[in-house]
Amino acid sequence: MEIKVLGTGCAKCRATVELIERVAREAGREVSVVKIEDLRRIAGYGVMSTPAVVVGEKVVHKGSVPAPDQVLGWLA
Amino acid sequence: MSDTMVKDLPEVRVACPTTSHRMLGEGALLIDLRVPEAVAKLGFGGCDLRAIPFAEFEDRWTEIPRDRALILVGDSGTQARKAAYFLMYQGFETVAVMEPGLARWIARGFPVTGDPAALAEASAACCSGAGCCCG
Repeated sequence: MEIKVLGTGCAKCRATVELIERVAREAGREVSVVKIEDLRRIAGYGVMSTPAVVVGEKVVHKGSVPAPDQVLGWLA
Repeated sequence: MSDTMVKDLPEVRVACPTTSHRMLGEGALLIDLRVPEAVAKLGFGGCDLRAIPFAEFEDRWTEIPRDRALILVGDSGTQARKAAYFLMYQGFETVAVMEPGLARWIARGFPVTGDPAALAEASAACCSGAGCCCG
């Protein structure tokens, strides 16, 4: 599955990418994390607060690093 | 969360202070995204302006009239672009960002409120150390 992380390259955005990759690895799930750093494309999802997470073209989280349990829920 | 409508937004228009000054004279509204303390010390003058701090923007953007041309300016170009694209996503049609911002506005001799010396103080305070945010 593919998960997009929207963010302009800030520390929280990088932490979000690393968290998703780690949780997926530990859960034995194959996931492709795509970083979107272009402001125009990020705004195209209606998002202003980053990092944001998109699963299946749906914004499922925004404004903070998600909790590991949330990530697990997206991978289910 | 609800379904997301993904939009392919056009590039935001960038207006220099001179063009911004002309647009403001023609009825545009300036949205100042800087923190209230900075606005109180030194602000854009001679134009219709609404101050909405960037940190509050996502909660307060509905205060912005849809029937006016808008020019956004912030502490950085990134702030103004983020807010401008957000408004474009929400359906605002005439949106521009002012770049460069207040320093160039002052250099062009356009009106200000407050003390222009505050700009030099703010710049010195911000850029005096390594890892400055202004790069």
